[in-house]
Order: sequence, then C-alpha cells, then structure tokens
Amino acid sequence: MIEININPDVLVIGGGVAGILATQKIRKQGYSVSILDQGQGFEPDPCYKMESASYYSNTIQELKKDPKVSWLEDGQITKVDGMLGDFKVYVKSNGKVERKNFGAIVVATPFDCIPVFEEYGLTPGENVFSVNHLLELLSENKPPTGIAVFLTTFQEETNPVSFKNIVLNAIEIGKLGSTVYVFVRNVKTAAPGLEKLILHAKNHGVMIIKSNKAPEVEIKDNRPIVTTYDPIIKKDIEIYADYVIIEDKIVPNEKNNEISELFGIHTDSNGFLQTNNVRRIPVFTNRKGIFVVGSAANIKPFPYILTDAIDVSCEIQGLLKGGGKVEVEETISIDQEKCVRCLTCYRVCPHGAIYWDVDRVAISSLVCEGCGICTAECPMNAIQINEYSDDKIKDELKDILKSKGDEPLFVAFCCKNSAFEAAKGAEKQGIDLPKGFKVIKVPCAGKVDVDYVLEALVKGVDGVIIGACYKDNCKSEKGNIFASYRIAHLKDILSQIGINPKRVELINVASNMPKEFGLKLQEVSKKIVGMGS
Amino acid sequence: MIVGTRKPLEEIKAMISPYKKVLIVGCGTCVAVCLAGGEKEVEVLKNELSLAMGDKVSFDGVTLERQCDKEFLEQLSDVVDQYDAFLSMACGAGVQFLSEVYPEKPVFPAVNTTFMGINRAVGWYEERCRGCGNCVLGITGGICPVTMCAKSLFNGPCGGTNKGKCEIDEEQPCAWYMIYERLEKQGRLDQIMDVIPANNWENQRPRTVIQPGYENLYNTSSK
Ligand code: SF4
Ligand code: SF4
Ligand code: SF4
Ligand code: SF4
Repeated sequence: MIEININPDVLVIGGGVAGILATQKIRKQGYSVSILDQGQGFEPDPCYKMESASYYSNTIQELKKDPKVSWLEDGQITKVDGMLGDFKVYVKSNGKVERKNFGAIVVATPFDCIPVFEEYGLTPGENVFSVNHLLELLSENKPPTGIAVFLTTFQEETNPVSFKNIVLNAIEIGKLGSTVYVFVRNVKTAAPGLEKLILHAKNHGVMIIKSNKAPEVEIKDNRPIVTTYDPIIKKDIEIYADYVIIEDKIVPNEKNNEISELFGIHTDSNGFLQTNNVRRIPVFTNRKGIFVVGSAANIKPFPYILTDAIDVSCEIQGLLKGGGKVEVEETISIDQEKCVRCLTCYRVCPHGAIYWDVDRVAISSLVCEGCGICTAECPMNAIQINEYSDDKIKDELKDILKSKGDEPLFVAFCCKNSAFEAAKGAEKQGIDLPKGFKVIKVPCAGKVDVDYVLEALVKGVDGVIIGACYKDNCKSEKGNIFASYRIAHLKDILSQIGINPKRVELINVASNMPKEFGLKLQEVSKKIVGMGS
Repeated sequence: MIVGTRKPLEEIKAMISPYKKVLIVGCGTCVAVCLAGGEKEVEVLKNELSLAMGDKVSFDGVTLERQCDKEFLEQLSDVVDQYDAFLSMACGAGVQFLSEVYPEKPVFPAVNTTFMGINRAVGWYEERCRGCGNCVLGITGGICPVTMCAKSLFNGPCGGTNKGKCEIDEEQPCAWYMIYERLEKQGRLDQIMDVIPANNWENQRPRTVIQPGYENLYNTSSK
C-alpha cells in the first residue's frame, strides 16, 4: 500500500454556462472551487443565452456570495504538472504567474460562435446580421422591427442547439412586433422539448419554411429581398424583408487546442476535448481527475449540460472522497535497477500516469489504468503490472502448450474489454470456435508484446490472434493502435524469416459480438490450417 | 558512447564574458561517463570560472539526465528567465537541442565533442565508429575501416601499408593489416576478397532514424 495525499480543491476552466453549472454542483458536494475565465468573461454562451440567462445570473449571484468559490478572471494557463489528487497549474494574470494546486480539474470551455456571412454570399450590414448581433440588440433594448427572415442549415447541417436558439429568438422578436420567417433546409428536433417549442413558435406566428435550396438574397434600395422556391405551394416566393438574420456557427473554444496540449487530453476531430469514444461518456477524458463538461466536450442541448454538471460533481466526490490521505494498492511498478530512463513509457502512456520523480521514472498506481502499453514498449522490460506480469502471461502460455494435441493450436491474446468478453460469450452460446483455440486474457491489446507472439510461435503455437477493440473504442485510446503497429512490424519480421505472416492476425471486435468473433476466428484458422505445418 | 573533452578555460571565459548570470548545464549520460560533463565537472567548471572571473559573472550549475531529450530540457523552464546565457557541457547534439528548446537564450559549448568510442580504462577513450550509416563490420572482422584507416578505404589496404603500420605514422597500425590478421585467425580470410561497394556517405547530411515498428506512428518509412 502506498499513501497518497489528495488535495480537495477543484479547478473549473470556463466562465460560460457549463463552467458555472459545474461549479455550482461541485460546491454542493462540499469542495472549494476556483473558476478560471480565459478572457471571455463570465457570460452565458450566446447560443444558450435565450434559454439560460436568468438561470445563469441567479447561479452566479449565488456563487458570488460563496466564500469557497475563487474567481480567476482573465487568466492564462502556462504550465500544468502533476496528476489526480495533486495537479499543479500555473496561471498567468496581470503579468504574474502563480502556481495553484488542485485535486481535480473540470474543463468547461464555452463555445465560440463565428458568423458565416461569406458562406451565404452576404456581407453584414444594417439589414443583414447574425443571431449573435440580434442578441446584442435585444439586450440593449433595441429590437429590430418589421419583416425578419432567418436563414439556417443551408450551408451546414448545424445542430439542435443552434436551431433552438434561432427558434427562441424568432419567438422573441415576434412578440416584440416583427413578422418572422425562418428559412431552413432541415428542421432540427433532437433536443429535449424542441419539437414542442417549434410547434409553439408556429402557433405564435413564426413561419418556418423548408426548402432544399439556399434562398437568394438581393439588396435593393437598402432592403433585402429574399427569394426561394417553396416546395409545398410549388412556387417561387419573394419576401421583401426588413432584415435578414444569419445563423452563427458553433465551434469549439479557440483555447481547446492549447488546453489539450497543456493537460495531455485528447480531442475529437472537430476540436472538442472528448474523443468520440463510448468509454469516455459522459464526462471523462483519457486522464483520471481531468473531466470535460458541456460545451468543452461536444455540442449539447442546455438540459444535458445540467446533467453533465451533476455527473461531474459525483465523479469528483468518488475520486477525491473529501481529500486527505488515501491508501492505494500498488498495481504496477518499475524495476529501478533495470530502467535506463529512456522515457519511452512516459511518452506512450495515454493516461498521463507516468512522471519524473527527482531522478527516476515513476508510475502512479492511483492514476494508472493498467492498459499495459508501457510494459510492452519498455525496451528493458522494466515495468510489470502485478495482475498481468510477463511471467504470469508466459506461464499461461506454457500451460497451454502442455495441452497441445494433434490439432493445430491457436492462442488468442484477448483484450478484457472486448475480445475476452466476446470469447466468453461465444463459449456460452455454443458458437463454433476452431478446435485447439485457447484464450489468454490481457488488459488491452496494447499489452501484447511482440515477444509474447514470437515466443508462442517458437514454442509450437500454429497461429496467434490478437483480439482488440474497434478503432476509437479502445479504453486506453491507443492500445489497439499500438497493437496494430506491432502486428504490422511482426508480420514483416515473419516474412523475412520465411514464416507465413498470416499466422498472426489482429481481429477487431466488440464485447457484444461473440458470433462475429467466432466467424473471424474460423476464417483465420482455416487459412492457417491450409498452410500445413 | 559519445566522448568529449572539456574546452580550455580561456576559450570558455571568452565566450561568456559579456554575460552577467550563466547557468552551467551538465549532462548525466555519455559525457558524464567519459568524465567530461557530468555533475562533478559542472561543479569544477563553476568553481574554476568563479575563481577566474570573480564577481563579474555569477554561475549556477545543474545536471540533467540527458540533454538530447526534450522532457529533460523542459525541467529548466522555471529557471531560464534567471539567466543571460547557458553553458552546456553536453555533446554537440545536446548543445543544439538546448538551444532549440530555448531559442531566445545564447547557448555555449563547454565541451568539444570528439567521437563515438569505447572506454579502454578509467579516463581513457578510443574512437571506434564514425556513424557511416552502412556498417561493414560483418566482413571486416569487427574492425572499422572508416575509423581506423587513414583514408577510410572500404577495400584496402593501399600501397602505403608497411609491415603492419600505416604510411602516415609509424605508431599507427594499418587498419587493413589488422583486418587481415583478424579474419585469418577466424578462418575466414577468403572474405577479404569480398568487394565492399562504395558507401553513399550518408553521414554527410543530417539523418533521422525511425525504428521499425514506429513507422506507422509517424506515418513514414524508416531511414
Ligand atoms: S520505458 Fe522502461 S527503461 Fe524506459 S524509462 Fe520507462 S521503465 Fe525506464
Ligand atoms: S499501464 Fe497503461 S495507464 Fe498504466 S502506466 Fe502503463 S501505459 Fe500508463
Ligand atoms: S546530450 Fe549528448 S552527451 Fe548527453 S546523453 Fe545525449 S548524446 Fe550523450
Ligand atoms: S563501418 Fe561505419 S558504422 Fe560501422 S563502425 Fe565503421 S563507421 Fe561505424
């Protein structure tokens, strides 16, 4: 057992809706919270403003009175060290860098909204503006009046958050006296209460017109004329509008990339701070103790941000447990006599569990997820996971070899998160598996050392299968990728020594696919049997 | 390992004399092993310079695990601002990487990087390899003709071989004579007739190595 000291303070990054709600819920669990705004101010994100403004201002008022909430205004993070229970974050504000310590971190960066006039072939002006600008006019109590035309979803599919915002704005200016049209290619409904809201808007005079083609806007005598084809009345329609309002594009916060680098958390292809990996839902990142909520993770309807905030507060309670000393069982260790400090492990660990401790490389058992990627990459075999040590795995292999009969012998190294469950399922369901098929359970395909596979082949195994999760579905994000690199390399080695590389195959499978797993195994084994000895 | 030798004090003094506060950065791997730039040498140099320069320049010393890994160099990030210049005791690779990571700081070498070699006895090092990129030791009896032959002949010896010595110096053994003897002893003298094709001297341009198995990681092919 190792004793670790847990700092009970939490850092929340982002002063938008997600940041404020997360702060409120985490405070309810009793933790002190520092909330950092990176220069965007404490304001609701524009796309949630209509529906959350009062909720937001009430919450902020409540938090302002709370002495256990610290406000870090206009600060920039310059460096991050440490890990769960003891993060050290360097924040620069007013030209001074200060170090602050936290037990956990919640990234809640708000959305950025960018205008898309160019995409619509328009230039902004008095009669042509964005939804964001409309919000400003409304908050200045200068609502435009006359005939309003909203344009949305013609350039991009957009999303329910953006659409809901437009409908709310349409209702609002309708109430204030405008005649409102919303031109749309695809109506978005996938948010709680959105269908009802659309109906409500229609009942209150907002005209929603669907068309496949982006309407044309021509400015004549300082008045926008909007022309489009209405597929219902099968006619071109022309609207002499007083103003045209263009959707804003919701994009990830421009600071997300910086945060991803500083904190070592992965982004999705759009730049949100949570990968499209089911194992990260709802608020997890690849690093224990660093969470993402709401707008930092994805484009989510407002009610889901509230659920995220509650989820994150519960997860923080589960990890920090009030703070103070905790006992942690040592699950993984580095043999310091063997380690040559090459830093390979530190560089490959997807969970940031490896650190530099004065003059040695060390692993935190509290943070380690036990994927074993580092153990397979270490050039000195210096790292061992207690439950899956090299010796244990090689012993298992030896036992399997003892059972070798006349049939060809297949050994599958199966990831416990996918292939191992699929194999168990296949057995239970009586699915036909190749004769002489044996399973060795590994914590992740990334644990499978090239050396295991070669040793198996040398000792007389006929075929080796590595059962891994599908792309983007690996619990350790990169375990299946590392496995695929190693298998490709291994196949090269085998070809060079004249052994058919098809004796080793990587199979991607999910835990609920026993039947497919069985079929894939049959396919591989048939090829190997056909090869002769 | 990479072997280096400490530069003369006068040369080091001249390089750093315009600065007020200098950090001497040692390297805990190759140059520590060859006794040129480890923690002890950092201390020695610091004291030498302090004695020689009085309080005109002030010195601090630190020794990193290695200067050829970014992660170790980044350990200096908190203190860079306190210094006007760095004096690196690593090999040339380390000096360059230190300078690349902190491009705003002048970096000076305190060590002459000499060669890749072996440790004969305490404090005694001999050159063995010039990193030609296409090792021929397999057919030269484990003796490097690039390093040991004055003309780096791949197919020697030349006409200057003289009773086992090289024509350039009576003290210098002829590499190809040594190769002949070694191959003969091992009973594979016939190999001396193998013609080694000309090297394309890859060490004439900066090279990058990506180990097989990592090619996909960087989306490239190895070389
Ligand atoms: S990969 Fe192995 S040898 Fe390299 S630093 Fe890590 S434990 Fe040490
Ligand atoms: S087992 Fe996985 S999570 Fe644990 S230290 Fe190694 S690479 Fe990191
Ligand atoms: S910087 Fe040079 S001397 Fe230091 S470890 Fe790297 S190669 Fe060796
Ligand atoms: S042949 Fe080339 S690589 Fe081999 S020892 Fe000589 S210089 Fe080094």
